[in-house]
Amino acid sequence: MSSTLENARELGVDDEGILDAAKQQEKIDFKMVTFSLAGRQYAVNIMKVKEISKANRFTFVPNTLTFVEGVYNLRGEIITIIDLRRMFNLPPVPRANDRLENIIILNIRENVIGVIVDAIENVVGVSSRTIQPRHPLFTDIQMKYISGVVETGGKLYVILDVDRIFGEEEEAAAGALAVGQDPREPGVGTGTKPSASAEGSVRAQRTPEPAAKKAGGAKADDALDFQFVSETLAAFDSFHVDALNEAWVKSRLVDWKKMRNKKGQAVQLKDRQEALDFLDPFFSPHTGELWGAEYKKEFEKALWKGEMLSIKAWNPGTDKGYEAFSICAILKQRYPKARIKVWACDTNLLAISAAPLMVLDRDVVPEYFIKAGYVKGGAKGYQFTPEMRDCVLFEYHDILHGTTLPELDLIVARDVLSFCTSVQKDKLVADFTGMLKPGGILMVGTNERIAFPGLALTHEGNVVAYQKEKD
Amino acid sequence: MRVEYINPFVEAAFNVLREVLNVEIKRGELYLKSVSQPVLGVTSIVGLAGDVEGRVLFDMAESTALAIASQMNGEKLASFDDLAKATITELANMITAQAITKLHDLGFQFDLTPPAIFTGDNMQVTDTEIEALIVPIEMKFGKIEINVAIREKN
Repeated sequence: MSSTLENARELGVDDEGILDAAKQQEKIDFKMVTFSLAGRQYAVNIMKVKEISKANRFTFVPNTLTFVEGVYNLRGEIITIIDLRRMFNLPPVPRANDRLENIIILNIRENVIGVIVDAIENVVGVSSRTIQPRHPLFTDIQMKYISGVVETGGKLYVILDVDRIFGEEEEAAAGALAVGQDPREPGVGTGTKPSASAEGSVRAQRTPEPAAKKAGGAKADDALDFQFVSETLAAFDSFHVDALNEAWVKSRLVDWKKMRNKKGQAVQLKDRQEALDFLDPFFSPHTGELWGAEYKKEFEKALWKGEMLSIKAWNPGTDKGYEAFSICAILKQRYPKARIKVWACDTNLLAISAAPLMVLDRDVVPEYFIKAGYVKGGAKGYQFTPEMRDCVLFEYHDILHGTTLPELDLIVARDVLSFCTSVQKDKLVADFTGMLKPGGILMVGTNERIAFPGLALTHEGNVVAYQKEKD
Repeated sequence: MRVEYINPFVEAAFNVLREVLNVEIKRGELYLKSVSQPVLGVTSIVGLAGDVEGRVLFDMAESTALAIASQMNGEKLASFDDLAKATITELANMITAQAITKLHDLGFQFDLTPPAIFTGDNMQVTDTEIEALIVPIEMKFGKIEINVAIREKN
């Protein structure tokens, strides 16, 4: 070895080059979701994971392979559920009737399947160089299903080759399930994630973040971190990083790194809570509450000058309805002569169901609502007046299913597009633009930026507004 | 779908089924669907008109339909004959009518069309430009999927 070193020196490769090579070895470039099964630790490549879920009461499908637990309705999409214990011939555990099973939902080529495991642990990043080839000693699972073994944090993980396991079995299972299965929904949440992340990583390499101007190695590290954070956010919180919100994610990553380094924690996001913590500052001001006076002023600045006679507004992703009522109140005050109608929708059934009859505490209602008489006090708190409620129509609706509304003057979609895949985003922005009247305004989240022919950025700040060009 | 419409349909389905069948009934998680979907075997349809346009589908397997019809008639029906069909149609009518009554009390004007029933294998239903709310209901006879697609007239 030492002679090789000598040789290297003679050849003009300096120590730093060798040190860099050593550093390279520790570079984290493979992320995996780890889980346990019958007391052993396993892992799958995070790129294959669509999401993590808990569910029970699967619909039994007769005449399928023994390890097929049944089918499950994942937000309207029917997916096959496979019991990994049974598939690997591990001893079964008795199942309590109401216990929620831990499920990893995987994208296998064109298909989405759910896999039941004992417990899902976290996301671990390792260097792909430290992955050892499979070893014949791991006999409790067929050799061909293992892509490697890796040790990290004092634990040994067996990395499963899901494409090989389910690629073959899925075909057999899908054949047997064909009766129970419904046609795939193209483009809605199936198999679009990898493409989105791959795109993100390409961009990350092209434009490394500003703080990474130290060394070439650090730049590549940052690009890798960015790629992993993007992938983790997509897996844990369906937050998809691309041109729309890339700038924010990059600057957030710089802060996040500082904060985590101070605390002595790893930069990587390892569970859902950390993903949520990371995203916490992303949301636009007054998410989940009525808009304050400051924000109201800024919102008004982004609206049309002069008077309006009729305003039709749409508020997709309204959640509990605070956004829709705020929009309605501000429009009413700004354009007293106008007839105002706000359509608001969300896919969160619980939140949207409570929206029309929401009751508010005194201290959460901004002064301008009370002054203008948009709320009235009741026994339990403030409620919106019937006049206000008539202006806002709440719908339980998924915007990915397409929306039929009259031509709109205003669309307020704050922090909605970030939770769609790149493909869905492009379609939605095109839809939004198509639905607007010429001169209509589209608002997106504070940390989101879009680009679409015919849309011009007219206001930037806490309120981000685009106006559709007049013909 | 407008949120005010959801509860009346869920409640009406629950109440009517529990009353006429006298068995334990469980409601599954509601969800939205917009693409073509397979029909289980027996489907009763009721159209809606008035302030809105749309329709309600009651979808179930033939064995479930037969068990329900037997229970409602108080006798064991051997095949899915005219009586069984009429019974399922009536069930659809009862549930929809009760939901419409509840909605009427809330100030929405709906009219309904006479129910029709479809039977057969390998059928699909497609709604264009209107998304359907699915209310899955489970009981010992099997599963009924209530599929409600309503939109406002703009």
